[in-house]
Amino acid sequence: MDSISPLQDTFENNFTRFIHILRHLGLRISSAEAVDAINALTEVDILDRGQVRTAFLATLAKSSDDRVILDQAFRSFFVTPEEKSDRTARNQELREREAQEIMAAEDELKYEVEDPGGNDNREVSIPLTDEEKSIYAKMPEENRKKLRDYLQKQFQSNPVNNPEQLIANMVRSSLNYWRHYLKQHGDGPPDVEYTGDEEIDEVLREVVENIRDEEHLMYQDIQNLTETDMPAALALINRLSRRLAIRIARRYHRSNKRQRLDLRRTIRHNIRYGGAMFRLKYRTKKVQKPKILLICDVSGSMAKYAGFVLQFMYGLSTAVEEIDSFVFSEDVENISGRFDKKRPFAEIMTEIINRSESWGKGTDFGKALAVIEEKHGDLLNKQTFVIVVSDTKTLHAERAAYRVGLLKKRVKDIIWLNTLPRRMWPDTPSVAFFGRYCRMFECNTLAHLDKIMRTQMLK
Amino acid sequence: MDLSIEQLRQSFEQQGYIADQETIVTVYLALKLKKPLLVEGPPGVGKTEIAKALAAIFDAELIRLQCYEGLDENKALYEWNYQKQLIRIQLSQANGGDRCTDVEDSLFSEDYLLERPLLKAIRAETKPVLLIDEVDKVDQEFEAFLFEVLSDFQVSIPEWGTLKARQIPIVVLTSNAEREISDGLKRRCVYLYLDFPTPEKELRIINARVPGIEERLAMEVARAVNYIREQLLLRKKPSIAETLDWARAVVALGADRLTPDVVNFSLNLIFKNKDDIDTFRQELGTQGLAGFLNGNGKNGHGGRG
Repeated sequence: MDSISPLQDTFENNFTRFIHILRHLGLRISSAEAVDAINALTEVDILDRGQVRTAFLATLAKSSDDRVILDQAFRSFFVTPEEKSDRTARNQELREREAQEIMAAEDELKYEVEDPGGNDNREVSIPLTDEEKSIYAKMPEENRKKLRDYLQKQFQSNPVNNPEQLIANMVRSSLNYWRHYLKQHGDGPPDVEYTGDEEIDEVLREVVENIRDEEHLMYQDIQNLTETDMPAALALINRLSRRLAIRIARRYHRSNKRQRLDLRRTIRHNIRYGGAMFRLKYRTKKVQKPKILLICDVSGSMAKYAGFVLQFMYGLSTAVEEIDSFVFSEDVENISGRFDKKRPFAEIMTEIINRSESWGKGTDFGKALAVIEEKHGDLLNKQTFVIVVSDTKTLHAERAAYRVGLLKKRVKDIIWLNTLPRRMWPDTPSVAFFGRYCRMFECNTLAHLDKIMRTQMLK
Repeated sequence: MDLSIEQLRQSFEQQGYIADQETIVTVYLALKLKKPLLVEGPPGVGKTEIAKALAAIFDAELIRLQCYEGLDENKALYEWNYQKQLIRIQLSQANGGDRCTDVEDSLFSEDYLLERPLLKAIRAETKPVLLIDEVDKVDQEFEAFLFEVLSDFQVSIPEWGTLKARQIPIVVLTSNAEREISDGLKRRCVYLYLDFPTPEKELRIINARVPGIEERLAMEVARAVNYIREQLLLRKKPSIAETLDWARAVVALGADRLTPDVVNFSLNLIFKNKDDIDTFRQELGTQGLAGFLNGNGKNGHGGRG
């Protein structure tokens, strides 16, 4: 009996750690489901890896997305001791390399400064955190050199008592940019909260990396998609929009849900029975399909995002009442009529871009809104969803925000797809101006776009 | 009847349902844990068929509740036969002889109860299979009600009191995942995701369901359908049922290969709207499909040689 208990401990331990990992990967697992999983494990052959995996999938995963995550976690967690020690060794090596990089960064960021009191020169290091040093280490050499040159100049021209703190603050703002940049190119979804337990974090890291590799197109900034990614990305966005179109079409079916008795129809219908109320008639609930007014910023850097959103919306056109599309930069153009179902989307887009006078210019959103309100006021009513695609960087942002406020009163809702990474919002005043009048979402990957449309359009 | 995983697999095969190990183990777990089985996946992959196969395996009655938006308790659980009650009242008024309390009692007797699928499953004498089909189409309120019924397998009829299930039914819920089902309902269930089959599995399905088809033709149909699903962006991907119809049609045409002509004649069996037919003709075409089948066929032949 004694020899069995350590084994049981190991099983229970492994089980709870696995559940813990799944929860950190975003799966919602209640205690009842964990108990179900245990019960399921007692019913299958515990030595059969396939059956154990199926038992977990059957009881813990509750959607196809959950299945992908659980499957990866299962593969990473239930490994042989050899594979486990290999992984630990790899991670150990990685950590050591990072520590070395941090030390090298410390060395690079040391400077000799003249003592203002006339004493000997002294060596100072910039008081940065380890995370900041690691960001510095990951920057390209060219940019590191620029930063070092800048610091050199600062130290030489600041013969004050303690220049370190002052300069550290300046360096931080530069490193902040790189933090965003590296974040975009490095960590991807699913958003993971690390636990601090090295063994569990190793698994979490591996799962995230594998999922990111497999579904990189979904999670990559649209701006960074290369020409070779394009066909796959376009096929993906077609699939996403088609799936949503089916959902909208089903959701907005005419409903016969019984709600209130229609007395007039009931009486009229029952006259044939001498007034006895044999057949009751109920009011039917009419559900209207949404109308979409799409306003896309196609100035300079925004053009690529706009192309994707237009493609997505084009895929919805079978399911929604109507879509009116405008593109704007310095001026605004209505491009709704150009979408002909018979022609391939890429061809239409090329034509729009070639003909458009707005594509790739500066931005004036306020002017665009004024023109839409003036010339196309009939499109704005309480069935209309307005979807704006823009990074909020426009001329006269405050004036434009006031116009958005006026627009808000005339339409059902305004959804703003902001291509600027959320971390940069606090430093961009125009985000706050527009954010007051609409629901703003970060949208620079296909995964963002899919999630926003799915959750907002089907509300 | 207590079946092992292997026996369950064999029973499914006897019913003509070819399933992979994951499907069998998941169904087995749902039976063992006495929990509803929630099957999700695209249309036409055999979700509903699981319930039918289970009913046949356990020789149980299949009770089906087809869901749609607007489905309410009256349509799913029970309803009083209002018209019949009204006639009863009018008759008793005409006769003038019936006592008021007698009339009232009889109005809520079994004679006037319209039993709907859920109540039927709860009151069944022998364990039935309850199929709740396309549960993602119902409204949230009904989903909450369903959740309650599936938790306790008991319902209350105000005039009668609480009715408890005589036998806990085998419950299969299907969903096309068009709408997210509430966490509560999902938590109650054992989850199975069915995707389109691999060409190998589809070949086995064709062989099991289309008697008399030649091995080579069956293989070509399976590979062609798989290729069409993978390569073309269709409004509706061909389901397994459509694959089977296509295979039967090709056999009926007396063909032994999928030639461009045969594909051309039978195209309407796998594509169910004009857009998809146009997409097929523009992007692949009958020649393209035949080319794919022949090209790989040659490789395979070369390999064997």
